[in-house]
Amino acid sequence: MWNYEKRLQYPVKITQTNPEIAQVIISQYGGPDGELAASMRYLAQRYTMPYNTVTGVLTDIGTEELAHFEMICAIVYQLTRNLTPEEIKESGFDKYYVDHTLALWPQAAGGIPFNACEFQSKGDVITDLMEDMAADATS
Amino acid sequence: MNIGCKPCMDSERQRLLLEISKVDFALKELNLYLDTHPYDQQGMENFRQYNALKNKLVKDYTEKYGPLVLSIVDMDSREWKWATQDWPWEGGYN
Amino acid sequence: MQEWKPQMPYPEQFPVAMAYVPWQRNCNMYENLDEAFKTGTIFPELNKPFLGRCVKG
Repeated sequence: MWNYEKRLQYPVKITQTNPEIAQVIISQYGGPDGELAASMRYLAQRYTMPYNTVTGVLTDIGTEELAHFEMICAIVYQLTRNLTPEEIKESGFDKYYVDHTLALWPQAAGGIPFNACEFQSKGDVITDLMEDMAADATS
Repeated sequence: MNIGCKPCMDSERQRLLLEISKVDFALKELNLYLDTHPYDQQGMENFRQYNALKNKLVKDYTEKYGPLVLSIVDMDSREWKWATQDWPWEGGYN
Repeated sequence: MQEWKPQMPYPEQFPVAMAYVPWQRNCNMYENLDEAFKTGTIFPELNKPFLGRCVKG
């Protein structure tokens, strides 16, 4: 089970909105190398990990990744807060806005929705750890 | 568009919260280190010290400003501040 | 107390055609937590800044 701490792992205080940058940064939330995929990868792989110590690593990193996507969401949220209809249209944010308004939805920068094909969980120690390293080296 | 800050917290509150974040970051790193080095006495001692410091700082923060975790709450208050205070992504908070 | 040792500490014991990650050797920490917090690790040993195309040795 989990407990929530009511703070961000690192402060996010953005004073200037920027929907163009938000559309790129959202990939770090729901994209192929995003924090959501990272978290789900570690937390899915841990059940069949045969070493307690390594299961500990997967559990604790998977937990930390949850705090990471919370920070990414905070960034996107603050970059798009209170946009006007003109700003939404001019920035190209309208294609996201039409389906999700200013809500957070896990997708890649190109609009591809998050899905479990972004990561692997094979039940083989070496395979799973190699997958983790390959993924983590990119983000 | 400049949206301005949400009503900013006083600087003492921000300083204390940042201090908690720094100490907790050290704890998280030591946590991961100890997972793969579970008999490292120096690592465990460092964890013990930072954990005690974090608990003290969170208690101080909770008494002065409001809850960060549900295990340490001010039950003398007539208000359930966990829900009434801003959430962390609002920006003025952290 | 149980002695904890990495299972394969020596390069000559590593079979070929496999990939390996060296063990983190010690838990020396930055003395200044501010620096650690901004750097993204409390372990100088793990500080590998992203330089665009390669990492610092």
